[in-house]
Amino acid sequence: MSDCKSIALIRESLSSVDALRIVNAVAGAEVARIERRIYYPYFHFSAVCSARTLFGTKPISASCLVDGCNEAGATADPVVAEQSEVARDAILRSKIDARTAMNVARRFLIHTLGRRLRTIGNFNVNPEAQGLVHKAFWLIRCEDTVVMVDSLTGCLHTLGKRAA
Amino acid sequence: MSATVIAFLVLYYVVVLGIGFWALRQGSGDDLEGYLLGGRKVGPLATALTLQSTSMSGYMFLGAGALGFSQGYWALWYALGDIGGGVLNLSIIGRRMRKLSQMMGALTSIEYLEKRYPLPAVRLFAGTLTVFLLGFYVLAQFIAGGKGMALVTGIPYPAALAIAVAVILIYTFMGGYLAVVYTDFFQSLIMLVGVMWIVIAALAELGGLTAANQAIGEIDPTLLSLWGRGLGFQGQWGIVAGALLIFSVGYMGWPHVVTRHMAMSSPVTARRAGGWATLWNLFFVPAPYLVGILAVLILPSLDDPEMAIFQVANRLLPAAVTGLVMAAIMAAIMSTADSLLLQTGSIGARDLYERFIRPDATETQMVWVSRGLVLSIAFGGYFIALVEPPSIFTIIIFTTSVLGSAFLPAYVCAVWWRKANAPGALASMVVGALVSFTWQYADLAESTSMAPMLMGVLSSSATIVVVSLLTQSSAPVPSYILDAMQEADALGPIPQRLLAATDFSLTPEAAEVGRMLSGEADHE
Repeated sequence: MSDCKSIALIRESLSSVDALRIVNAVAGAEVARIERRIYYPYFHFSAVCSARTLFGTKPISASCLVDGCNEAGATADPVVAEQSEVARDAILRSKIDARTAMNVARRFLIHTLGRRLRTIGNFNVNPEAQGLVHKAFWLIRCEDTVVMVDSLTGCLHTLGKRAA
Repeated sequence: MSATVIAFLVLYYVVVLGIGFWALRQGSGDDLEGYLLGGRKVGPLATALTLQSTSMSGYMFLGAGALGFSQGYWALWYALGDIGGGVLNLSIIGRRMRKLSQMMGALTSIEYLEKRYPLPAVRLFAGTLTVFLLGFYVLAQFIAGGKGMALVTGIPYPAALAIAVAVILIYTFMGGYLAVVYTDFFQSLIMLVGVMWIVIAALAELGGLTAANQAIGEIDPTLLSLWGRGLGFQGQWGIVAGALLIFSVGYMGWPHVVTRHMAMSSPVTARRAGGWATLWNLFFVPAPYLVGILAVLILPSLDDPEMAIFQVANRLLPAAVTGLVMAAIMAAIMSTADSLLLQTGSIGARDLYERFIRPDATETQMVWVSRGLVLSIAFGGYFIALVEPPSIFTIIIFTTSVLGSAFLPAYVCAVWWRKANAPGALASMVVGALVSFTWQYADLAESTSMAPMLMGVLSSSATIVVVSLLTQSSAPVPSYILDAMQEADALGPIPQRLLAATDFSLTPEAAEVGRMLSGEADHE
């Protein structure tokens, strides 16, 4: 189908019913209804970094997701993705290329390791590209507001005026 | 200092090393990864206490006690600002800052400033000033470490200072690898228990708080007032405002670390950790000030007020407990110094060297720049602390005043005022830093009854408004920044309940999805 595209979709843990229940619970009334589902792009990287300890060097595995639209890096729990056919018009297009994302991932991981391990050092961070993955968000209308619900965590975020 | 104290101090470090060894040998690399990846396996309590152990600096153990000893209950203005300010920063003002920072993809606060106010001079000035002030703040930790070490071991101050600086450097270059999760957790628990133990022991010694207050009143009733010894600050609301501001909004001038983690399941750890951290602060923050006040009775002939907490512990606690508590305090001082040095090194390497001197610098080169800067600060700090050490209270107040005065309006206007532009921000930083510095250097607080922090913030706030308005036509705020500010704002008729439940780490995604729905962003 030309209107569909196969993407690597991060395995979700919330159904539309779960998402509705979350928003209704927060709103305090049965006022929410599903508008649509959208798919947000992230570049996925895995890296094995080295952390020296007083008792030897420890390898640390790290996952990193780079926001395909905003270039924001983030460490991540292990990502499990599956190929899925989804409607093209529900997929946000990535604005950055893999090379830019790789640089963001490397810089972010070094920054995070330095901060968390509280040391100055070279962590030999070499991210390996795992490809572009997408995360599904439920868009739910709640009276005059559109709410975006993360299909993995159930966390929500209201959308701005333009979306409403 | 008794041999028992030293023995238990050594025992403390052996236990800490043992915990690190156990954690790393027992295959708990997964836990280490969990900690690095947002506390996935560590749990909310350990996450909260781990963070708190690094945020409590030498000031809390030396400066706060000295202030309580010297000025009585007046010192609680500072504690009030510290407790209330943390909540204010996290819940109201800081939220928008974090949202906009994430939307702009900035990793450090200095980078964030340049992205919001796109002018290289903003980053150059902000980075240079921050490196200078953080280096100065480290000096307070050196002095605290040196004094504590001298008291604990009985060796002369110059040698104790050298040992403290050397240990801090070693800690900075490799000590952070010491299984930070469990050691910090352990250290934090010992600190909290130790400080509360000192408070309870002091109150028991004096027959309770009421009896202690009566006794203080007989020595000097003005110590019981909120106006300081001899009512020296009576009616000086400008000074009171400065005391409240210094540790509340003053913290907003500090460089913040931005990290982000994406959980693959419901992230309850971070939220619960926030609750634990607040509880820890409520108990911990007032305690050192109170011990300082009670030390007026317990140690009436104390020569150095900065040693009030150490000396009260030494006097009242069993030797074994004193050793453990002092070790934890020393570890906290070193841990704070190490965090400050890392921050300074990072700003020097990334925000100054990579940005302005060598954009194509490799990671190895940047590591060496960081190390060089840290070593320079260590050597410079050692000699200042040796030759003419200022009081820790003076250093902390000076540093926080200048940082807050220089950066607070720029940070706040970055998210709250759409007309704040680059020339306005730069002028505000320069004026705020200069006014606050001059006010302290010329000791104008006494003659004007206005605290340096208050004057600095007032002048830098006025400057950003005036200069931004005057330069709107020649230096307008770029439209992409205005868009980002609009998205970072809580927009539209959002029900309060939804707003309260919002996860602001999703703001970048929400902004993009909003653009897509309004047809401003592409889909496939």
